[in-house]
Amino acid sequence: MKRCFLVILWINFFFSDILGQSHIKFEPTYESNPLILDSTYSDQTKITSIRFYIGHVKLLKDSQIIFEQPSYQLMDAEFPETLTIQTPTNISYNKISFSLGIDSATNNQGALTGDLDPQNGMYWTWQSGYINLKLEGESKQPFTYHIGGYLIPFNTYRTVTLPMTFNKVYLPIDIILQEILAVKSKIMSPCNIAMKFADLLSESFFTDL
Amino acid sequence: MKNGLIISLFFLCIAASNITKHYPNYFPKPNYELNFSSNTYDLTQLGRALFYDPILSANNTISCASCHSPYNSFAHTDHALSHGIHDSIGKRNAPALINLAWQKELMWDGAINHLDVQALAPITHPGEMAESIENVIDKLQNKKLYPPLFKKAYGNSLINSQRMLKALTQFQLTLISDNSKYDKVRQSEDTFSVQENKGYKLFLKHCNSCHTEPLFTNYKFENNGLSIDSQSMDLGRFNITKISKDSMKFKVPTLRNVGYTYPYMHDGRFKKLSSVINHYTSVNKEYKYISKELDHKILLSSNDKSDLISFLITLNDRDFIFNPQNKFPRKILLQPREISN
Ligand code: HEC
Ligand code: HEC
Repeated sequence: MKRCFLVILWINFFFSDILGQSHIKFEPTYESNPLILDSTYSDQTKITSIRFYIGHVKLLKDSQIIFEQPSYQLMDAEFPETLTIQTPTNISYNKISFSLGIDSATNNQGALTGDLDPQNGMYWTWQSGYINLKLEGESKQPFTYHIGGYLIPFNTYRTVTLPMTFNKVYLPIDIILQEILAVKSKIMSPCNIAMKFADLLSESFFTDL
Repeated sequence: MKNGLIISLFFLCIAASNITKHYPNYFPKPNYELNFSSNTYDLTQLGRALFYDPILSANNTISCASCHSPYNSFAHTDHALSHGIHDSIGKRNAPALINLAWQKELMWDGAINHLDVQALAPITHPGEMAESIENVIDKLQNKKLYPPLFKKAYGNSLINSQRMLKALTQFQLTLISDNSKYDKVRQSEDTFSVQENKGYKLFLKHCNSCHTEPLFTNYKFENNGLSIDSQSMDLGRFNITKISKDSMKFKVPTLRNVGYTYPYMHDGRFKKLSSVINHYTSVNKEYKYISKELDHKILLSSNDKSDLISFLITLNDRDFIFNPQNKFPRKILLQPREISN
């Protein structure tokens, strides 16, 4: 299974160099495979929902910005089309930088619309602020992680920079869960542990297997 | 040269027509842009209709005005703690809604950062209006009244959460109270009585550091020495910052219209101004995190206390309380076709 996935990646790499891509895909993974929601994995874990905001995407060639998209996109594994960011074709780059979550200026802007509409369920109504990432499911016991907060000292906004050869960015949910489940099964507000989780998340994205 | 003159006159006229004064010149610059021109009239009226319409609650029984009454400067006076849907009792007293354009953080603990998003809290709170944003938008789209009102306000009849929230904001920004006796004295249209003047002096000495004129708040979070409410165990600002010195700090409330906004404090523990003053003269200055403005004893004779109260009463703005523009919009919400529906 894993090997098959690697082969697909390799083919992907092969084509991306020649043709150039017109999109970048964010891919939550489990046990090195694309995550399947609501399926029970061998470790008795089931992910029911993973949603997060990606913004300020920049594609760079060395240190030069080739493409920039300042807006935010709500990614939701339930709707695979939301996991893709459109980019121009025929550009060449070797680095990506993006933010996980919503910066504090945007958090202070009042009512917004589209992906930032509070109706999307990614907004705390009792204490202003976007939820940058929601991860829910069960692993023997249910777990709920709502990671957000923009006010110092609990600003959970993170910037990620990665080398980029394929057009995919992976987020290994199983590895993240292994670390966080040992600490806490519920995070629902801005706090210290949400900060740690935000660090862990931002360090977990990768582009090469 | 002549052309230049005409052009500059032209720009001068434009500039002049854009400057509409909404508040006295001794008020600071507001945090929100105020636009109450004829262009925004329909937006204000939409916001006003939404504010008074129980459609924003799950069972269509509770409106914003159920807890924020125009006769109480948009505070709530029947109960110390607010009453919401199915008579559930909240943990805090509903504050006055005035001069919100100058306020940076909202709620007693500053949990909310912008007036637009404030309404999300009561609408979705299970003990207040207990409704989802999705349902509210759905109901508004399906009530005959609203698509035309949104069209008037925004140019087309699209109804979404942003438009609903911005309309509520616009209405609430119009709630400016600046015509109390205090204001008339400042504008030399009236004078304080001897007693009021004595009270003013006492106020400047003991209270103005936090309840800073002309808005009668410094919009900071302070600890004024109240003991913790043993029922709610509400720690105020600490809930947001998790910093221990913020424990029991609450937003300094404006004292404008204070005669209309009883009961007082975040939990409505005092019914009368005299009890409030007695609190300040008996504050335990050893109290751990008390704000430095109150770390000394305030000594007031009983005459001083009455003088201070007589000054506080000059902050009442009757014109605001009885302003028909702030009230239930009968013409909009009681349209005949809505009644027959
Ligand atoms: C069930 C009673 C209730 C209802 C209904 C209600 N409020 Fe409130 N409101 C309160 C209470 C209580 C507070 C203080 C809450 C806190 O500090 O946590 C408050 C605070 C506010 C504030 C902040 C004021 C300040 O000075 O910080 C605004 C603005 C406000 N409400 C507007 C509204 C609007 C708009 C609606 C309708 C969408 C509404 N309220 C519905 C009880 C209510
Ligand atoms: C250290 C700053 C500070 C000083 C000085 C201060 N206050 Fe306050 N005041 C507050 C805070 C904070 C609150 C809200 C406390 C709460 O609800 O827990 C408050 C609440 C009030 C209220 C209740 C208003 C309402 O709408 O509920 C009144 C009335 C009041 N103060 C009057 C006074 C008077 C009169 C003085 C001078 C004797 C004074 N205050 C001095 C900080 C201060």
